[in-house]
Amino acid sequence: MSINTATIKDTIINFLVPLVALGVCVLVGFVVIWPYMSALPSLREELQQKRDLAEQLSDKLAKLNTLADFKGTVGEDEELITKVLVSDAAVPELLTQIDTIGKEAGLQVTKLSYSFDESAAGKTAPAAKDGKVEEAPAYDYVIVTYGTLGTYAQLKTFLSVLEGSARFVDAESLRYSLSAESGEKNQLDITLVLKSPFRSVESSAVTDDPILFDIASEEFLGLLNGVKKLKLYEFSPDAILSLPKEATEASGSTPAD
Amino acid sequence: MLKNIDLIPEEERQEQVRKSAVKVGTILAVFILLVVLGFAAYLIYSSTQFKSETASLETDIVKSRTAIKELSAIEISARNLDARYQALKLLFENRRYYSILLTELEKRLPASSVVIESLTLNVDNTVNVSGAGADYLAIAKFAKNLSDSSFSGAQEKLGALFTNVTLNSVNLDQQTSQAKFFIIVEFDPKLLRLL
Repeated sequence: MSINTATIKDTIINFLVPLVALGVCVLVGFVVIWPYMSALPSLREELQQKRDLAEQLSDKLAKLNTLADFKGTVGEDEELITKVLVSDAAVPELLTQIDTIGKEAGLQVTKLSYSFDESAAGKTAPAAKDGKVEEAPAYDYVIVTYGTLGTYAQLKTFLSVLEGSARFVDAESLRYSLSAESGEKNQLDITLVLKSPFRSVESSAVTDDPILFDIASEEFLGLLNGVKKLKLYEFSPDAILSLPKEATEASGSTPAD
Repeated sequence: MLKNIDLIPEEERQEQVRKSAVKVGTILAVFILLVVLGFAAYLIYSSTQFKSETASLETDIVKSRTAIKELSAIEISARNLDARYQALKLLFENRRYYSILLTELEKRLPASSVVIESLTLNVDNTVNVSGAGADYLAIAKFAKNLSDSSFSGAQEKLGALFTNVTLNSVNLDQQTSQAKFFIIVEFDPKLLRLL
């Protein structure tokens, strides 16, 4: 009996090879293509995230290096801004400042009391900045009720000097009437409610968070230049000890006019 | 005349067609296998590349993080400064310079014919003003000056500071012969913030 090798060869080539090829295709499809195809989008996404993070950290590092070069300036700027927006209530200093400005303007103090408004404490509101949502600052306030006698011109001077003083003090409300008691013409009985914000800032370093702050931005430098023009009232402990006798605390309540 | 005579039997012809079809099928199967293997190789290569690049970036990230942590003191200082700056910016943006309002109000007062006896600044951007005028005309002039956006004595950009004037009451005081008035003046707080 003779074996027809050509027939066997043909059978192998034409039957087994396609079968094996298709089998391998299916196997490769299940073992390699399907899992890799499934994993590829997440790998691509992870790579993009890493790229973004690496770029963000690189930018942050560059910014920090720049800030490190101007370390002294950063410290000075912070100190300067802290004189306008103080860290704590510092009530004696505030009352002394208001009293001093009042005296400089020629006003006679009749009432000086204070209270705290902490209604805004801890409250934050989202504020968009460069497409990112940041927390808008919230403050605590010292509310000062300032009663005084003086003329219209003196009142204007007082407000003008107060607006130009370093520690931030805003007039919340103003009321005056012609004084019936003083007997002098044009003498006004003035009541001012003043608000002075304070805010304690204790930031922490968050490695992956970007620093949006730019020490060289025009906006920041503009504000800093404005702050430098303000008049700073600094009081020694002796001056604070001689606080006006009228100063009384009415803590816990909003002063009534 | 020549004529093509096909001497191949029909069975043989069919066998040749069958063999040719099987051959094409084999070639096609091998081709598909090569394509599949190539695609699989591409996927493995891409995946390896992604992983390799991710690992490289991770190394860079770790290095950057280490460097950033070394500068944490500067970062805290910068964040403190930024927080204060943002807070202060907001305060200045919302500040109202009432000294300017008083100055503008005084400018619009007809000289020596109208006296403001009391004034109250309200939180709703209004000012209650009461006083006395030499006559009704003086009070009318005062109200007109307040509502006149092109008032000549006004500081630049502050002509339209007072947006509305409402004369609530005017009474003649029999004892002094003066006209007592009470007006409510609305003002634009934005103009007090800009300066």
